[in-house]
Amino acid sequence: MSNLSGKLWRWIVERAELSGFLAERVPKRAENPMYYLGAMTVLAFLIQVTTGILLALYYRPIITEAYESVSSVMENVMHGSLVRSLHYYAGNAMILFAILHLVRIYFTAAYRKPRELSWLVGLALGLLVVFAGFSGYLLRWDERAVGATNIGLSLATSVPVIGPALRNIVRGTGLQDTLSRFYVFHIALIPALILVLFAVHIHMVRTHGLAESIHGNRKEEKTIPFFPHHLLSEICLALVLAGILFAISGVLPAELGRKYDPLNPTRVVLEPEWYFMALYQFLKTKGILPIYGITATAGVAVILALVPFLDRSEERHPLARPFFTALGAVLVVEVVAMTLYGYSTPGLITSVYDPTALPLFGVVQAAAVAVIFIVYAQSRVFRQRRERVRKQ
Amino acid sequence: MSLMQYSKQETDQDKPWLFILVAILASQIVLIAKAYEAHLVGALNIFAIFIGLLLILFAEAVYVGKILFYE
Repeated sequence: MSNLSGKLWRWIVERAELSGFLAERVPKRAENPMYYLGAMTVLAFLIQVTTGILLALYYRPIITEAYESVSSVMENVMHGSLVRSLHYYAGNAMILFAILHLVRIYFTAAYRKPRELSWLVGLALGLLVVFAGFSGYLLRWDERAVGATNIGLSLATSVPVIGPALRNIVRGTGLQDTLSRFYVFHIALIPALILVLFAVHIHMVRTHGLAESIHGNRKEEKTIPFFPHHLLSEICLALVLAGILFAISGVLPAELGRKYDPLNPTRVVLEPEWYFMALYQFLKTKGILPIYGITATAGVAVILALVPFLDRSEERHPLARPFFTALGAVLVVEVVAMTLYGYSTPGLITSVYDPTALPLFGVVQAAAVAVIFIVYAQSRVFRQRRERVRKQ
Repeated sequence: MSLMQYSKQETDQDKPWLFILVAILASQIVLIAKAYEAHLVGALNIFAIFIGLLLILFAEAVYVGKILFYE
């Protein structure tokens, strides 16, 4: 039997010309879970595709039937509720892993030459992943989903120059148009683009290999075989991720609210998904116009896209390049603080001039300033320590 | 070239690991059965949680296999 399996294995390796691939080695530090975030994003996407295909068998993208079809999947289809929950949580996991992956690449300056294009493709992938979540949110057609989508669409229409055209493309002439378009975006256009960009991104990562260690001693680095050592570790983490998604789906199945009825609207607290909460909180602050939200989002995207071309130093360690580390840390602190602020004031229009909101707003800004001081102070200590080591 | 080419020599160490894995799996089944008997959650929830734990357990088994045979 083992002889037969050995022959089969040799045949597969020979015909698929896998010997070069199997002989590849990766740095031992790639065993750190932080290096698996990209692979976990891909895995979550694959779970999304699998469960999405199963859900598409029953979903009807018609405004009078969409909600009922989702409800029917949950109540009448065997394991339908579980499949929907898996789809929902895998979507959230995909966005979370993509964000964490971006944060790691940013703080370790792994976007440097020759990986600038890989970084830009990664950013585009990040945006697509968020759009996938946004377009899928509407499909369940409950009050919260339609309300939150309307807020998002009002942002899109406030974009200067292209706003009205964007509105026509995304929204169409009515509710049915919007649902049909979101359905096509969610199940065809966005996944196809994600697949293409995933292929380009993975090709570039394989071409350039892992970025140097932040300690910069690549030549002395220990390596391990990609097969089976590294691949087995990836399989382990993939199984753990799938296991956690199943367990969460069992403990907290995905909810379905009241059906959206344009003729009989009820007052529900509009709450977007967690990845939009910071932006939502920003927008629901008194005096903030949608154009400010668009400007802030576009500004962050442009800064991130330009970072590989602005950060020209040779240093890779986060504390050796305090400006970009402080910039990233401030952004992370602001987003986290605004997200928490949004969750603590559900549905309320907040104002920076409101006496109850002022302390919290002050804390957020003070935290951002504190982060800058901490990064620069730590950077100074880091450089002094490195100088001492060099002298020794 | 075969799969076993990559492995180190087999040892007797796998037996205690296997015992621990089976014990964890058994305790998980008992816990889930008790939760179901107490009508704490529905059958579908139990099924999802059980599959989730099973996958994590399998991941653990793969990891132990990697440690035993390849490191």
